[in-house]
Formats: sequence, structure tokens, C-alpha cells
Amino acid sequence: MRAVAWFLVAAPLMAQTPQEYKETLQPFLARHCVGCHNDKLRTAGLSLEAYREDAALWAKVADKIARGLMPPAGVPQPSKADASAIVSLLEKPTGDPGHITAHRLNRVEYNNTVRDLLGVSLHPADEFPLDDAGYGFDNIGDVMSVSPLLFEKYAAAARAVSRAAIYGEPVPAKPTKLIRFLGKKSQDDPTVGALDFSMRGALWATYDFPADGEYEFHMRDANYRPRVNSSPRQRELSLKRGLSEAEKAELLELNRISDPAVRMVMTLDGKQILTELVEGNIDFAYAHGESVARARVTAGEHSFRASYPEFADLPNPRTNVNPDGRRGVFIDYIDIWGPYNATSAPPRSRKSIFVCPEKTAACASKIIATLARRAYRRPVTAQEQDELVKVAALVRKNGDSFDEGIRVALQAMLMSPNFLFRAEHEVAGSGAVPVETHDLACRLSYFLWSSMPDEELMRAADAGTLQTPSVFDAQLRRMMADPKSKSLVENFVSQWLGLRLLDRKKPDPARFPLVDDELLDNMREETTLFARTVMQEDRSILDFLDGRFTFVNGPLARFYGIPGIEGEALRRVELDGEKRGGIVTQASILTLSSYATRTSPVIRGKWVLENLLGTPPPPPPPDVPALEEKNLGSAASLRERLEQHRANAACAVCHNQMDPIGFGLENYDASGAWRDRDGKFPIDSSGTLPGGTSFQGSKELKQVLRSRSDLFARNLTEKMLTYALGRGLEPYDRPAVDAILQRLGENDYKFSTLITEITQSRPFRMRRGLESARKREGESDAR
Amino acid sequence: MPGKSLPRRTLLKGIGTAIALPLLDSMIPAFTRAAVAKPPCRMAMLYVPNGIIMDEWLPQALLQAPEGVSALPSEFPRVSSVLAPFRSEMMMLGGLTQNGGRALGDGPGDHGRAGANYLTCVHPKKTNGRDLQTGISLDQVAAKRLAGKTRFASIELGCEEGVQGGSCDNGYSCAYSNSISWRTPSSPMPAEIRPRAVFERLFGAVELDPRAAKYDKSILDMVTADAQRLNTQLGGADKRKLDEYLFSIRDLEKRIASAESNSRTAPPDVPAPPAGIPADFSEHSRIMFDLMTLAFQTDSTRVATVLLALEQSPRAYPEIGIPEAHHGLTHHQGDKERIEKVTQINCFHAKQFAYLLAKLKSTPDGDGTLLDHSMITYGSGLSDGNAHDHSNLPTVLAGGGCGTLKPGRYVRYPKETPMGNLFVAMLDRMGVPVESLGDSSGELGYLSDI
Repeated sequence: MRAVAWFLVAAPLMAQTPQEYKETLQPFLARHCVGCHNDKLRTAGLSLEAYREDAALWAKVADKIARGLMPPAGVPQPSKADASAIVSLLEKPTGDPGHITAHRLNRVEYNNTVRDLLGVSLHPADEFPLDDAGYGFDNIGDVMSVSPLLFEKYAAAARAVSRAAIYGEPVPAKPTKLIRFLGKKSQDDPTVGALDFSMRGALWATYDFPADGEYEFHMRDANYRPRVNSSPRQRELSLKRGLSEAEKAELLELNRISDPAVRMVMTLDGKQILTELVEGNIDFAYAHGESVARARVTAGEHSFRASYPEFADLPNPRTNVNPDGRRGVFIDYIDIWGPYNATSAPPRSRKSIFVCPEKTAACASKIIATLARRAYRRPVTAQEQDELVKVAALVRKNGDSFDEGIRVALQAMLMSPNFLFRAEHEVAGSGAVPVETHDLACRLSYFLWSSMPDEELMRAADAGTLQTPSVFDAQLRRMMADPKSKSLVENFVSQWLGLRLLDRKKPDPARFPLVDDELLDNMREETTLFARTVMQEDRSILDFLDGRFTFVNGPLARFYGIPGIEGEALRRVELDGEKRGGIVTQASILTLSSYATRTSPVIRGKWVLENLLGTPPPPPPPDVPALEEKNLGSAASLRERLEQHRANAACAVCHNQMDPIGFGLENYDASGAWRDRDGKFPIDSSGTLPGGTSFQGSKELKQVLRSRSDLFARNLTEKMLTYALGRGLEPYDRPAVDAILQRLGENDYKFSTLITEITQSRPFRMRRGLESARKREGESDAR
Repeated sequence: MPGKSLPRRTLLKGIGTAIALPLLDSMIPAFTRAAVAKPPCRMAMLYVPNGIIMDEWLPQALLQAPEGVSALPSEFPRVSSVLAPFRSEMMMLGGLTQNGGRALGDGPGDHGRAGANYLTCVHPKKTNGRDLQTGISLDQVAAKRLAGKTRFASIELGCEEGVQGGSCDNGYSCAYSNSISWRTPSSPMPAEIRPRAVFERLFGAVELDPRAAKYDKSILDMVTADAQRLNTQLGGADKRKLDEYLFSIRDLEKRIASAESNSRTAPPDVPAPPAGIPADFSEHSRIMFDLMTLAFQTDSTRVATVLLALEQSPRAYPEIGIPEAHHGLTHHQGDKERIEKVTQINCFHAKQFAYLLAKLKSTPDGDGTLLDHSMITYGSGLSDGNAHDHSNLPTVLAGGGCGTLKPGRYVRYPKETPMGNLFVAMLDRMGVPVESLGDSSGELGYLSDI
């Protein structure tokens, strides 16, 4: 159905009969395809000379024809009627809802599920090995495997989580220094983990606090400022030993003039807990001793930040960087001490676990049954319950406490495949049958929340009413309105756009001195807030292409050249759409589609084709290295050099699609900043696409993209359906995608329509009936 | 404001215990030295991606070397020169090929294939994810046969976090380049990249603390029954997932059993490494090598793989003044400046390997050193990264292999000799002989004879 389908081994699905092949398909292929795709040339590795029983192959052929990508521009084209006859011949709907392979929870889902199940704030899955991804997403059941390493981590996590849930999380006996966040070596000090680096001297992080209680934040500024702007007299005095009182006063005054006092502000979860004035000083280093703030904190993760907010508005952040690379003022470190006056109240989770007050076998049974239903996200069988109860009874028999029995049973649940996997119920019947109701609840909650169903959804599933349209709609609306739905934006959008790769794509600091980790962080947040807004305001998905608003703070606004925005907090701004607007002109995307040292029109073009239009260029022909923009001499502009490359016809077929799009974005450098020149060459941001469409600059490029909103909508739909199902799409999913697209078109491409229609779609609501599933398996075994 | 979060364990371990690792050297548990008369043989396979600048790899004097054995010269070009101090402890092997890394009709994707093919010698199936298919890797063949002798059948280490994405290289799943170690043709063994996690797995492991693990057996029995029940209800791909789960349970059960019966597994009195991942590659890789050495030393495992960086690695090396991504640079197309940068990266990697060799050489083991009782390979699945050449792969085999290797030599094998032949020879020396591995065509000669 699209390029991804190429790689799938689809079940035999030959919709066309041999007769149809002979009468309709073969003549079409002979006329339009075999000229290039024959046994001899094998253009793009493909020959259509002889018929092959390969559903995926024909699906790809159908897709290329349907999209008008084949035959390529410049050769005689089939009539619209002929083309669509061939496409429908190749794509006769089969009604197959597909199969979703038993899906183990991925890292995000594991953490969220543990949080929602037990209310503990541990994030054990942060320690799990990376989840392998398929089709661009990390929730694809087929791809995710279990290794002994992962299983060990499951075991350790089950122990830690069950202890935290029953006994509370481990708390130090007396207040201690829990951790030091060190700003000085922030890039590379392994003792504290790599903190992000700020030229403006800020330090920010999150920390997982072990208990409710008070904590102290001990921080110190480092102050090297007089070296930045110092005068000869200042230098003379500062190097002199044994200053007189008068000289000291003079130096202090000179320092005050060259480096005015700057205010430091420390916040916890956005609320100010400490502020102080940092002045220019005599001995260069530490004007202040430690400053201490004390705050009451609940157990769990909280974010804090110490910074010099006025630096957000420095015209050039390097003003705070000395010639030796050391920052003028910066947060040297923050130590966290605590907890003081820790409250030893039982963990919140206890109440939801101990639903029965007595320490009796009957109560144990009830507690375990209640908990297991939630952990397994479905009613528990008598046998399962019995075995869990037996585990708890064994613990008691050994002389351990009642609570310990429950804890060990919980530990067992957390290691059970019933918790770790989402294996759906088989449903009797042949053909497509509705998904079992608890499985539907899980499909919904893991799609929207990346987590387990909550009690309300579970009750609808228990009652068997979830399939009722009114009940389902109400649940969907409720869940979309729940703050947990931000997981959808964070997980889906970050993977769709490749935002998670931004960390690996840091621009070369030597060439892009204005970009630091803090700015990269702002860029990522901009795109995330933008996407969240499209969802929350139920805007058109086409806003991703050219929406005229975005989110910036002072530094990012200055980076973009947007006037009038100050301060550290990102806020919404309206745009005129000239230089910025839509995700392709956001610095995050422009950076992650560049090399560290320079832009690559090829990569940017490919990014747009792949991620926005869903028409990735085919891979380069066999045994030719991916096209590199070679011979980086200075005699020709990058554009001219690429043009030369495209003189090679074999390269040109694809690069004629990719490169012009990238040229349209050449006004943005490899960090996303606007530029009119690239070194000595003025930027030429014009492009001509195959087929002759020409544009000038990003604004017109976006109009071109907008004119292909059909492709964009299809691509986004396919990507989101893939994410929602947790499986790659197959040729038989095309009718479902078409139906969603039709509804989208009727509803102004509203984001909510996309979500609703996905959850109404056949592959989301149905599964293969038991008889059909077994039959298929028999067939695939026989092959 | 989002920021980096630190794991809770930072709290539990406390910053005070986070002492830099070099101290490990002095903390060899005394009993391991004298424990056995005849030390076992160990093997480790180190992988560097994107090929090596071959002009800076093979000594000039060997360019015209005939097929068969030559002595290693004293003059080495830049990349291999960092290994010169170990010329009498290692062999350089020439002429070995990984045919399975080639297209063989599957089109582009040489990097994707190179990683998964390297230790399996099986041409990976081109797939975006659903139906991963390569072979069982050398280390896992050994691990399976040696299982039960040590607590860990094998360990898998890495210095670069895997890439999450559907296709990493022209339709090859990222899983292929994220792991060189494959337990089954479809089950990769992910590499652990966090030093602290490796340490805790090896020496802080739960099964070593009987109080914490009191009910583990009952729990494992119960979840095994759960999985078996589920397995009977499921078919096809679902079953495979449950089989992986069941294998992992059994693996843990074996570990518990072996911890009970094996007194050599007591944890060393060594402080845990720091919680974070060092940003500096050299520091990171050296801590991993320290841990690997410690694992060998305590006989916690005899088989290790180290994925120093991923095929097509986007990693830049600012610590040696190279801001560009490694992979991009390797497509230098003859550009001198780029070749120079790749050379520097190759040298930088090789230096870390030299650190490991020095470490093993200075670690007493039985009647000799750990290096004497190890076989360590270092190499890449590509020779010339620019041309995606899968032949004549840069390969070093270091260590004495418990007296089964005669180091100090260069061996040139006939062109297109399968790399698998080396692996067959190594398995033989590990005492777990196999007929063949992947596309091997025999057993490599000239490793110990003339």
C-alpha cells in the first residue's frame, strides 16, 4: 500500500485471477512498465517481465501507480481510467482486519502502566534495553523481543516496584546529600550524568525525590565575569597582590561597571524558591558561599532550574562566555539534601491495594483478585487467581507477614506475561470479528495514553458496553480530554518527525556558536507544543504544513529574528508565514535534517518526502554508495555541485525529487537560523520539481506541499494507524485508510476526526476470527 | 522545563561510592587467582563500524606478503601502530571476507547487513522489522554450549545507544545494526551501554542475595505456567514472542542454580562505576573494558561482545576534534581531509582496544595472564567503508587462546576466505567445536601451526 509494504511478506492475497492478469494487467505492464523493469535492466531492482505470486510486490506497484509516481514524468502516461482500473484490480478489498502480534509493553508503556496501576513514581523501564522499532515506531509487537537481559530487568523492576507499592519507597534514615548536579563540567562529568549545557550559565534537571518531605537545595554561582569586559586598569589591579582598601574599592567599582550585577533565580516545578544578586567581584571566583533554599516536595519526579533570567534576553549569549571558553557567570553546582521531616505516611498505593481490611486468607484472595484484574487488564481466571493466592500463602507459611505475601504475589504479577504482554483474546468465528471488549479497551488506552485502561474504561469493558457507539464515543472524548493524552503527542509525534534523533544531531559548536543544549531543548519544546496545540485546539492537521503560529522564548525568538519576545518561558506567537510557519521551518526539524557542519538539501528533501508526503525515494541502485555531495571545494556553491551530480541520469530520477525541496529550505542553515548567504555564495532557494512545478523559497515550497495535502493526509493517517495498531500496515488496510481520508476531507482535516476515525476503523475494531486465524497459520506452516 | 533525569539508584548508591574505575585494578579478589589450576579460555569480539582506512591499517611490509604466514613487522602504519606494543601477542589476518554482507540481489544496505552478518555469517533478510532473520552469532553458539559453567553464558556490551527507527539502512531494520549478538536468527541480544548497569548485573545481582531471592523460584514457576498457558492459546508470531520469554525465564533459573553451586561467583570488593554514561568515548569504552576484564577475571562469563559503535554510526568525536558524524566521513570519495578524519577516528578506536590488551596483559590469571587465556578479535564488517567493501576485512586476533594460538604473525588467506572459518577455529579452541558457522567453508589454518 505504500513503500513500507514492500518489505512485508503478506499472506497470499492474489485478488486478480490468471485470466485478469493475462487480459488486463499484462498488456498494461508491457506498455508502461517493462521498458525499465525488465529482467535485463532491473531498474530499482525490479523486474515485472514475468508474473510473480507476490502480494507485496503488486501492492507496491499499485501504490506507485495510484500515487502517480510511476510511470515517471517524461514518459507516456496511462489514462486516468486505465490507471485506476489497474489499481483496483490489484487492490480488491479482502476485508482482512489483520493480526496484531502479542505486544510486550515498551519502556514508556511500562513506566506509565506501573504509575497508573500502583501510583509509584519509579521509572524502572529507564534501565531496560532500548526497544527495537519497526515502521518508525517503538510499539510494534512483531519487532519487540524479550532477551535474558530484559527479563532480568523485569525481575529487578518487579521487586523494586512491589516493595515501593507495599512498603513505600526507600528513604534514607537521616537527611543526607542525595546528589550533586555539577554545572562546571556539565558536558562530561560521569558522576552526575551528562547535564545539558547552557551558555547562559543555567543548570536544570529533574530529580526523582524518594519521599514526601522537605529538601534543601544548596547552590553556588561561579563568577568569572571580570575577565570578560575588563579594562587594563582592572586587570592590573586584579593581578596585584595586597591591594589597599582604596584599591579594593576601586576594583570593586570597576567590576560593577563592567559587569553589572545579575539576578539568579532558582525554581522548583516552575515556582521560585530562591533568588540572589550576583555581583562582579574581586577575586574572580566565588562571590557567594552556598545559598540554600528549602522546599517541601512530594515523592517522585520534580524539575528544577537555576538560571539568570535576564540572560535570556542577551542579544548574543556568548557575551557570557570568556575567550577561554569558560562562562562568565554560571551555576557551579546544586546539591540536594534531605529529606527533612519526611512524612512516613503509608504509600498512596496501599489504599488501592488493600481493599480488604483483615489479614485473612479470604481477604488475601480478594486483594489479589482485585489487583490482578487491573494488572492483567482483564478479569482473572480462577486458575490464575488460585496460583497467585498460593504464592502469597507460601510466604505466610514461611512465617513472613501478610503484607509480604501480597507483595510477593504482586511481584509475581509484574513478572507474568499477562502483565508484560498485551496478548489479545482469540474470538470464535471466521472472517473478521469484533475485538474482545477488554482488548478494545487496551487498544484504546495504549493508543491514547500509552498506558493501561483506567477504572472507568475497565468498567465499560466489564459491562460489555464498550462496543456500543455512544459509550465508545463518550470514552474516547473523555480520554482525549485527560492530561494523559499528552503521551499521544509526545510518543507519536516525536517518532513520526524523528525528534528523538535531535540529541544526536547537535550542530558543530565551532560553526554554530549560538546553539547550545538549552537552545536545542527549546527547539524540541517548540515542536512539541506546536503539535500539542494542533491536538488540543482540534485544528486541521494541515497546520503541520503551514500553521501560522509557533512557540518561542527570548532566546529562540532572537534566533529566529522574531522581535518583542523576552524571557525564558516559551509562549505562543502568531506568524506571518514569510520565514517561519509549519514544522518544516522549525529549527528542530531543520537541524535534525542537516549535517553537523552544514545543510544537506538531499537529506532535507528526503525528510520531507518521507515524513510529510509519505513518498520516500527508493534507495540508490545496488552497490552505489548513497549520493554524497563530494569534492567540497570552494569553487562552486553547494547547489551548483549538486546540480552537476544530477547530470547523471541514474541519480537524477530520485534526486530531481529530493534536491529541489531541500533547495527551497536553503535559507535556513544547519541549525535552522535564517541566512541570505552561504559563505560567499548568495542563497538561491528556487526549485523545480519533476513535472515542472517551480517555487521560490520556503513560503512557496509550503504552498506546493499544501497542494499535495492529499499525500500528507494519507501519510499522517498511515503513520498514526501504524502507531495505533502497533503493526505495519498491509495491502488489505488500504480501504480503511481510504475511509479515514474521506472523513478527514469532509471534516476540514480536523485532528479529532483522524483520532476518531482510526478508532472506528476496521483494523482497530476487528480481528481475525479464530477459524480464519488458524487456517492462515496452517497455510503459512505448510509453506 | 524538561531536563535529563537521573535514575533513582543514584540515591541508593549515593554519590560517595562513585569512585572512578581505575581503582578496579587493585581490587582483584584474592581467591579467584588461586582457585583453579587450569584457567578456562575466554573469547571476546570487538566491533568497530564503517570500515577502517586500509592504507593506515596493513603494514607496508605486508602489502606484497605471499599467502600464508609472515612475521609481523616492527613498522606499522598509523591505525595499527597503536597496537604495535602487542605485536607478539596478536595476529593480523588478511583475506577474510563476509560474503553475507554483500547485496546478493537485495540491493543497497551494506551497513545494515554488515553489523548483523559479522558474527552470524548469515546474510540478513531485508526487512523493516516484522520478520527479522539472520543467524546465530559466534558468541551465542559458544554461550549456548558453555551455559552453566559460568553465571552468565555471555555478556553483551556496547558504547552507543541503539537507534530507534524502522529502517536504519535502506530497508534493513535498525535491530540489525543495534546488535551484533544474536541468540536465535530472530532474537537479538541487546548490548548494555550503561557501565553501572553492567556492574550491578554482574556483581549486584539479585540471585547472589538469597534473602532477596527467597521466593524467586515460586514466582518463576508461576509465571512459567502463565506463559505456557498463554502459549497454547496463541499461534505463529505470538508464540515466538512467548518462546523468547520462556527462554529468558529458564536462563535466569539456570543462573540461580549456578550461583548456588558455584563458589567462584562472590562479588568483588570493587566500588560501582558512576551512574551516568560518560560523554567521552575513551572513558566510556575503557570502563566497559574494565568491567569485561572483571567479568573474565571472576569467571562470571567466558564470552563477551563489545559493540564499540553502531554501523552507520552518527556519532561525532568532538573529544578528538571531529564534529562530523563518523559514517558520513567514511564516504570520503577520496577527499584527503575526510580520510584524515576517519583515520583519526580509527586510531582513537584502536587505542581503546590497546587499552584492553594492556589491561588483560597486566591481569594475572592462573599460570599466566588473562590475555594468555583469551581470544580477542577486533575488526569491522567492512574494510573500505567508502566503497562498502566486505572483503579483506581488517581483523586482529589477539591473545594466546590458552596456548592454542601462535601470535606475532600475519596470515594472508586466499581471497574470499569466509570469516566464518575463523569463528569455527575459535569455537574449536574454546572446546565447543562446530562443523560450520553460517557460510563458513572449513576451519581456518595457520593460527597455531606453520
